Amino acid sequence: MKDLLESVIEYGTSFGVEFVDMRVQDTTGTTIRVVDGKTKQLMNSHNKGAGIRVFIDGSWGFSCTNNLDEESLKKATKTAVKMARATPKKLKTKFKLNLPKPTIASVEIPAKKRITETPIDEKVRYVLALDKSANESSQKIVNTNERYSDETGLLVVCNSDGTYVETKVNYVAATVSAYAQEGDIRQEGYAVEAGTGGYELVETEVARKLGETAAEKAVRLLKAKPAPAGKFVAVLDQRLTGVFIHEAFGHACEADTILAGASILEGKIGESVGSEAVTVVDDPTLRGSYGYFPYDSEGTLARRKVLVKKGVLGEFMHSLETSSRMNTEPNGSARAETYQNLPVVRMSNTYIEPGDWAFEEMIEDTRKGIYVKGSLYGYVDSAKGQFMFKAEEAYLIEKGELTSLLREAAISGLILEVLGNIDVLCKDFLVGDPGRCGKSLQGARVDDGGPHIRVREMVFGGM
Amino acid sequence: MEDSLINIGSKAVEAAIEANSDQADAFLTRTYCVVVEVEKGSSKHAYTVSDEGVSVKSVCRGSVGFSYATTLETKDVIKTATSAVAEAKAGTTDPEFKSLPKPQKTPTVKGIYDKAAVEADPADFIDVAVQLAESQRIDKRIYSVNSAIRCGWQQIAVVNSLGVEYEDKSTLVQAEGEAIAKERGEMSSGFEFQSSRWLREIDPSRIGRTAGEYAARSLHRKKIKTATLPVVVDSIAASYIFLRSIMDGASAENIQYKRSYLCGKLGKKIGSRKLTIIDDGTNPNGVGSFRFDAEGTPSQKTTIMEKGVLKNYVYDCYTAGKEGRESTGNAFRVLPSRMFMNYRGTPTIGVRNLAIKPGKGTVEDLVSEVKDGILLRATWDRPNNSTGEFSGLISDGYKIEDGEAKYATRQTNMGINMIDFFKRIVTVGADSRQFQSASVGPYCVVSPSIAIEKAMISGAQ
Repeated sequence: MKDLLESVIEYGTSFGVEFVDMRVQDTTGTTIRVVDGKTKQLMNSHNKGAGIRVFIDGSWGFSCTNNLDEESLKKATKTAVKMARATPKKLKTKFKLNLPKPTIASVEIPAKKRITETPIDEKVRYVLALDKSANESSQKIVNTNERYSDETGLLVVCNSDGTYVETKVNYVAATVSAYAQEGDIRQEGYAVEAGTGGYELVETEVARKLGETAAEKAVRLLKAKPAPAGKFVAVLDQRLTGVFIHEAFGHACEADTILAGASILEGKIGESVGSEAVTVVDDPTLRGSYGYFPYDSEGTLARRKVLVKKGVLGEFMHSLETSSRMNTEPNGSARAETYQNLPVVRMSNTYIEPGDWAFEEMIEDTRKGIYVKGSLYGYVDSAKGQFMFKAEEAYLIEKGELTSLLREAAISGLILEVLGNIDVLCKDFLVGDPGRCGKSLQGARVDDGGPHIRVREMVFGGM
Repeated sequence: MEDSLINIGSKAVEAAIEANSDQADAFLTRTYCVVVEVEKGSSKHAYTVSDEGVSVKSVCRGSVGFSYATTLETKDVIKTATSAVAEAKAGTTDPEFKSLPKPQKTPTVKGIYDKAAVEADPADFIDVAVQLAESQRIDKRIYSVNSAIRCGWQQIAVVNSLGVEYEDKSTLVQAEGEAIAKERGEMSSGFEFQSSRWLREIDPSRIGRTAGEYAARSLHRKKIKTATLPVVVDSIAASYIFLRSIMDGASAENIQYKRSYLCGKLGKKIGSRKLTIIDDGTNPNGVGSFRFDAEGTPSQKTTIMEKGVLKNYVYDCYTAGKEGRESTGNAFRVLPSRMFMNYRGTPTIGVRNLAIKPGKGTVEDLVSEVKDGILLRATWDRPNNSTGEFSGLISDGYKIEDGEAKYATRQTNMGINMIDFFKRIVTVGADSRQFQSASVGPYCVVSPSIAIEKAMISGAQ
């Protein structure tokens, strides 16, 4: 395949463009959905195709094809060139790409037990067992839903500068949603296990117990009261610390948002943005995590980035384009969901580094507040500088003790205030909140985490 | 010449039946889309996405297996069909699966294909996107202007082993603008968007101007006190809230599995007399209109709520079969963040053109009736579908004082149970628009602005 792709790249450069790159995908996968003890959907997928991008003067043209033969690839290349050439008369921001040394690599995300070697029957048995355990956890469980998905195969990135990177990918994810009912009250409990690797990821104790975990949460929530409305001290568990830092800070550190003039952090590198105790990291090199990748979708070696170091804004996340325009090095943050997408600047595994408090010590130290656990979702407006995220469950903290159980609540904060408002960081660090982050109409597998933290002031949505 | 989607689908269905599938269908899409993106008034990306493929569904003893491939080559299509049968055979039996749809007459749906959109030169879209971006510069406070135009067409076909053979085509144009404003160290953003089947209906100047106006208007946001207040919900926010609360709440799957807050509410009054909600997959020019759904059931009109009384849920074939009734034509195949349905998409139940029956007045009229309240222009939160509780951020909102939206709110949330939301509707406006965006999916909501008597507003002051 290498010769074919290189000849297509050469064909692209023959049009006199500055830069050509290509992403090729050939992956297969399985999805199994079970509801109330029955398989609802077994899906086999095969995603195969290539996306070709060309660069002239500061504008990008892109096209893609589902066929990997020479004729289709050349046709898509020609379309990409045509699209790039359509823009120059409306081009005001011109720049040159400042490319790092070409990368040549072939890597595999390790998998102990290959997904393709595990028969479908075995996967179905695993998912049915999750369903059974969720259902049998309590008589109050009225509905159980499981989803298992895996994907394996080859991704190739190559460009006209000589970069050629092959990555063999392996992903597995399993989720359970259980619904409990008592009288008129209905609640959902959710549990997930996901990572990069093989089928061994769902052979762990945690993965086998996802059903019970989700069911117990749903039953527990039946007794929960609505969370109060207004301003409160908030204690966040590790998963919520993760989604909080992803939304509250991570997105505003993506250099494409900075260049679009849409981030409140523009021009603030080197400035204090939070308390000295806070260090924020985005690290795609955490092996096995859901946000792990050795090379990004432009073939740049992925590396750990310290976004905030002891309260000071350190660096942004970059692609080839943003690093060229901001006169810095690319740091492996360009990701494309599939061959049909352009690479955009994305996070990977984002977390806050731990402090030295014990969890119990922090609760005892809190007179009044709300302890929020587990994340449902979140979003941010990086220009307005405000973000929100949603917790699965919560506890009232009164006089240093956890008291009533509360239901989910929307919690909002302000980017430029919130890192200064973190006053306690515990030592119980954990990255374990795998999920999908959406941006520019693309999804990316990400993870996040941190320690338990306390934030002096957050606004709760209430009911 | 390219083989027709129906011919390719027929080969897939034949292969699945030959491999001993009880029933089978093929869902095929061929999509082409041009996208242009403008950053700070300068063209940045221009690209095309072409995608075609087939998904085959096999049913064996009620067990449903799927397989898809990103190709329409005969040998791949046949391989995909046999793989779908193997998947179905690995599943559990399900006597509640009754049947795929039988052939029926499909309605005529007008105004969903615009030849001009298909034939337009990509360079023209760049001009439109730049015009849209530049229209955002309403005054010197506007600091950055970004925009995007997506224009696409799609051929779609469903073929099944009972004789369904439908094919249709449509176009869709989406335009959006995001303006950033700065003044005295403050920064804010404003957005606006439009979706239409027709290229000529896209109005870049209006979209741009509106985005610019909201960016400037939302500068100098203020924190407010926690209180229970009347809320005027602008058409955009109302559409998003109705989409999440009605689509997820009235899905027959969520009802049958007891996952929805609307369980057991059929025939009951759960809303104001002023609230009537109809889903219609046959609306002329509707961005959610098609002759048939993703399973090959003819599109139809379904009254979901009439004068506050819950009348119907929405069904696909499986959920309808379970209750011994007909599907309402609400089967979808959806991939996240796509403007069209896709053969790779997950089968789901969705709404087509979910319309709230309009009343009278504009959003300004509704605001003028409120002495002390909130104007909610945007939230991207969804209610908890099992409890119906909505708790979310007022992403773009304004404090109303003496009948006027005076200033934008900062870090302010809203909480209300959806049944209360429906019941507390005091006024329904007449300023409906088609709400559809790729980030939400191929569903369409047509809602005017509405006013509700009160909701919990939590502020940071």
